[in-house]
Amino acid sequence: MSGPLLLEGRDIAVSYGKKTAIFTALHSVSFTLAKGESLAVVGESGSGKSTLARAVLRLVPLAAGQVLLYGEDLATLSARELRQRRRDLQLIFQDPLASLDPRMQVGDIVAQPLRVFAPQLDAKARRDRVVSQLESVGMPASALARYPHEFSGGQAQRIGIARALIAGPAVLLCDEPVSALDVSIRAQILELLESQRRQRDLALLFIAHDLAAVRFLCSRTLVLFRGEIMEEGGTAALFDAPAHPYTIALLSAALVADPRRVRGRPKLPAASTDFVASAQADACCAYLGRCPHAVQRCAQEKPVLREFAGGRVACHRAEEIASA
Amino acid sequence: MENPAASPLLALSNVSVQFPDEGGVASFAVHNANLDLKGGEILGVAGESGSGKTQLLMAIMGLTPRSARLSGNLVFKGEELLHARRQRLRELRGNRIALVFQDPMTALNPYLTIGRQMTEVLEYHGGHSRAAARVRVLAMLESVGIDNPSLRIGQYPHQLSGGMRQRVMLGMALLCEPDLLLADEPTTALDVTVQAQVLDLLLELRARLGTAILLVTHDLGVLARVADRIAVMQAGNIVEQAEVTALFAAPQHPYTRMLLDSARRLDAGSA
Repeated sequence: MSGPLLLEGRDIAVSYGKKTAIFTALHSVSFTLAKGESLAVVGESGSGKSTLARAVLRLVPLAAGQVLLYGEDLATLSARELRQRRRDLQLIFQDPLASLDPRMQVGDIVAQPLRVFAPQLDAKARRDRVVSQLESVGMPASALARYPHEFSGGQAQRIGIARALIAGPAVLLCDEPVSALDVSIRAQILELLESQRRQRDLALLFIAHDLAAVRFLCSRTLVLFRGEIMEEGGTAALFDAPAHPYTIALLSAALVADPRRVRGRPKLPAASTDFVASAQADACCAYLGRCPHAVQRCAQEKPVLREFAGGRVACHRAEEIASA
Repeated sequence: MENPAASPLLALSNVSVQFPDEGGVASFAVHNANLDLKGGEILGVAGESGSGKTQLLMAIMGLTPRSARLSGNLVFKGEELLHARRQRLRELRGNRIALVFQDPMTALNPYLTIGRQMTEVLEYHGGHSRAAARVRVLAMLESVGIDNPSLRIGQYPHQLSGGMRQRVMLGMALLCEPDLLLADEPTTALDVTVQAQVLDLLLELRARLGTAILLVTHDLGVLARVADRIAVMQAGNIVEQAEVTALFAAPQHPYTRMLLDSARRLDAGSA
């Protein structure tokens, strides 16, 4: 929406397992991410969110499709070129303490990307960069000589963010970066990510199941279910007028800290399971079996992802559902 | 509904849990906790990691490590439990007081079928024969919303989804129709749609069986949905206790206000 196209996924498919027992974690997932943009990928566990992040980083092989960075297919790069390209694609993790080497001092942890991507820097210059990077994420220079276990979860995540940002990436992939943190720390880390995005014109690919965090941080949202895109659109529009039954279920199950809004809320509607028995395994809608709106057609014809109300949706009944 | 003059189901007065530090100085995991819980009531305990929520539950369950020093009074149905004999606690645990944990995968025994670990509870506490226990377990699986219980009863935990495992845990905890259910972050590991189902189930079971629930969680949205009253813990102390709508509408303690502000900064405009 804002800047030029930075990262693009085209029909990405990823499978795990061998010949006889193949599990397809992603089926033909496409997305775009522009400079300075923040895109959320939401869905339940097992929906393929983390696999998508790994596929973008080429940490798992693609069964089909392409990942393009600045229009260049990452698959065509040599291992050495790919390593250099990863400078533009940095990752922050769900468990901040587990992602930091317990035997390294914080100064060395944060300096590590500079050793790889800016080997020309001398020790003094490297140290200055590390100190200013730590300060920009709200950590004092006194952290340099300390070890990860001396820090709380929120501080450790700040250190992880400093390490991800120090080499000046264009895209930050965030895999559930706040779900392991206490609620008071969560808001601070999200605010830090947002301020870094604005200052550096950074693109964020934000993987989460916490919809409040998504609404706070991301301008666009992509909803995954069992490795397929169910719906995509501007976050505000998608949250206000969801068109896919799965998006509706996610939103209506989300809780907020306000008893007036969440008490006495009706139970989620039961799935319509009448057509499940007649469904063709690969030809039916992925959401069949969980969907309260399913009809005969959903069991026989997989809905294609199509343009809808300024976004995309994969549901035969989106028109009826959105207008209901 | 409840007679306010009736004595509470569970009453904690000045309960403290102390752990000796290396230097010999004892630190308080729980400090002078005072709590009452009536039959059929859902009391939420909110707080961040390290606030002492889980240690409070463990003290009620009589599961604090031996190195801990306990003081105060903990009265359950008129009986002092803090210094009760182990044998007496074993009679109560899983029977009158039951516990469900955050992670149903690690709390279930991976080597036993769902049926075996559930019938064991009834054989131990209820003196049921295995055949009679099986009938009860099938009915319980059905009532916690497990489809096709006669298939599931023969399966192992890894063959069930996370939501199903949490339902099994709840079913197991409720087999002896306990007066009190202690739940430690029971939905934190679950996806939102599954969380909604498990919370609905808790409300339904409370309505049907009159079970009182002590629900420990850091998720204020969960408490807003199901708790009748909330106790807020910070650094081992209960800093505020209030009825749910009052607590959210007019938090008194600065720490409660900070927690609510943090949650609301994120909630603003969502859902």
